[in-house]
Amino acid sequence: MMTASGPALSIRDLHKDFGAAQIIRGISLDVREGSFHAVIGPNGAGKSTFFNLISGRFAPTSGKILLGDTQISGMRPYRINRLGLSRSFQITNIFNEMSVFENIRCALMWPGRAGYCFWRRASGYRRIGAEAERLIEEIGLSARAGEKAGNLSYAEQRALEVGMTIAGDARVLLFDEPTAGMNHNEVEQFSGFLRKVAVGRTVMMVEHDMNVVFSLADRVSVLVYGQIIATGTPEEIRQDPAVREAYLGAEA
Amino acid sequence: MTRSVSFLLLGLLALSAALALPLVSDSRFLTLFLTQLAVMVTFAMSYNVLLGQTGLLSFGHAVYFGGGVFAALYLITAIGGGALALPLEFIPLGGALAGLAMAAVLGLVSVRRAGTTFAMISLGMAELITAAAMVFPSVFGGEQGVSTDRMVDVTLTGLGYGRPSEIYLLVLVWALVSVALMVFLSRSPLGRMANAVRDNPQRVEFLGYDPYWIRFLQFCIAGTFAGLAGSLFALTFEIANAEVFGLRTSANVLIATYLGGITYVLGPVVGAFVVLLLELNLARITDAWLFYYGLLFLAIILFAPRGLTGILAELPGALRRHGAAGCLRRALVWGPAVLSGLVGGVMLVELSYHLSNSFDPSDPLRLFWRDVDATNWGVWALALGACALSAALVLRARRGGRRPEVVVTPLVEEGS
Ligand SMILES: Nc1ncnc2c1ncn2[C@@H]1O[C@H](COP(=O)(O)OP(=O)(O)OP(=O)(O)O)[C@@H](O)[C@H]1O
Ligand SMILES: [Mg+2]
Repeated sequence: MMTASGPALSIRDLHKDFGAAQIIRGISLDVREGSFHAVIGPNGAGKSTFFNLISGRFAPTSGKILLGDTQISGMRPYRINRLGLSRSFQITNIFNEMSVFENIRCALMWPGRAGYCFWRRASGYRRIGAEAERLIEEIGLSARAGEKAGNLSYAEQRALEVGMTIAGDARVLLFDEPTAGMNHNEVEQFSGFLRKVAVGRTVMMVEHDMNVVFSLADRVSVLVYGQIIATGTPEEIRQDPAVREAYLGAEA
Repeated sequence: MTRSVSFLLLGLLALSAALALPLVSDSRFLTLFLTQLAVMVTFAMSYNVLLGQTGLLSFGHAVYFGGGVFAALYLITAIGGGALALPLEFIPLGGALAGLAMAAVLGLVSVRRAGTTFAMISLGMAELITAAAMVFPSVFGGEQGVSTDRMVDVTLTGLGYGRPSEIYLLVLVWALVSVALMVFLSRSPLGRMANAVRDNPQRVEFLGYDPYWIRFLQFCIAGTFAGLAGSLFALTFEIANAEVFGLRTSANVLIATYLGGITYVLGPVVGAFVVLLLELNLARITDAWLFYYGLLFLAIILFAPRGLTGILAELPGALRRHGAAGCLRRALVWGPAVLSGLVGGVMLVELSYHLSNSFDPSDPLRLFWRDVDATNWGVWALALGACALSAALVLRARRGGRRPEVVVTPLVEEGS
């Protein structure tokens, strides 16, 4: 079990090559228990690949990933998920032919201990159903609960994507650009929502919107060309000359 | 709510009709039709556990059906010979077990991936099993097949099951139980997650589930009920040869299921009904029935991917959207076009068949309640004229911007 003081996630000398291309080139990072840790970096830096390695979508070429005390590198995604790590996707990844309610309920099945059960009706799991309704309310889709997910607007699908990620009781959440494609108002609303979701959990988030990053994160890592060039508080990152040059330079 | 109520009423109506019909009329044809329908419905429903619910396109579902057929044939003989003290009514359990056992073994290698890989593996399995069955005539009876006699002494109800109506009752009860069970299973957590695997297997992995295991369990369920359907077939016909394992059987169940509509739990029921009706009736009217059967299948794929059930289910919505007058206008615009096309098409097909297949092509051909001479160019001109008229009407209707009410929605997404 996890010790109270240890990091929620610790990554040691992580590498990932796609053929000859080295995309992740030696990342070591500790994510503190209960922290809100943002990962920023230019397009193509390897942020999504980094998340894909942590969540098990890709197996690392080398290196270690520890979730609490458990070594998870190379594990299948569903095993990692059962250990308490849940993630969202940069490109919306939902069940298009199923209703919003069904989407959320599917995300709650395993945490709700429904498992592979075929001898009971899914609707008989009252706690799962009630939790699904509560969650749909929370992500603001109550009026659309019966609608097919494929028919939702883009913003609604993003909300559903995040809803599926926070469903259940995962201790560690990874969000890959959750606000991508949202307008200013939606982003505003959404960061308030994320702040609520993050309470009592460890969150890692890739985000391009610096306002969101600096208002939510208590730690920020800067990923450039497959390596983390700096990690610190938002203030430290803002001041860091290397970061300003490599990344924020264009905006500063 | 109202939809499920009307579905329930419809189901009850169909059920009471199914029960009453063989009693009021002692037509053997009708009884046999309904018995075959019950078998086909069970088989098609089991197929849809794969295709509609889990997104697995199989070309070899007959393998599990055939397993049930032969298991049942041998079990019935064993009961008749006194080697087995099982009441005849429980034969379908043997078929189900045979289907389950085969699915559990073959499923291990089949469901590793979905999409094309799965489809190809299922095809290979079907060929393999059919070939293997041909090699063992001592077990599968070669050309003449294996036969049995279902009139055994050990029965639960005391019925002799010699009469078609008696075996019909037995088959009907098992078919109803199977359909009810499959509907129930589709609503279990496994059934819901199978839908998720169908839509997006990758996402399922990030929700704690192993898609492989879900596919495998669904595969076993499908195999179980296919085997059960096979045993119902064996009870009905008391004979089968290795051809039941073949692609013809697999293709038939695929077509029936798809025609009915794979996105509806009870779609295969509609499909089985229509396919059987065509098979038994169209074949009596025309030699070209397979051709029409194929055309219908194509038309459904192209214009109504949600199947016949989809068309029925869309009707009330279309009526509401366009109003009765709007719908009538559409029908008036498109009706003549479709009708003249059908008439012209059928004439062409029948004339061609007659010319190439009959002993003497100038023999009169019965076409639309009239005798015609297929060597006379006049009828050909009439047929071509009807086709041309149809084409012209379609063009005009299109220019009017009124496309037929076809709902094209993406169906099963096949990933790995
Ligand atoms: N499966 C893959 N095979 C080969 N190359 C890949 C693969 N996935 C990602 N890459 C490459 O790795 C690099 C990093 O991609 P990644 O998606 O991780 O960037 P990112 O930092 O998330 O960028 P963005 O901000 O645009 O989302 C890109 O050059 C991409 O082409
Ligand atoms: Mg990315």
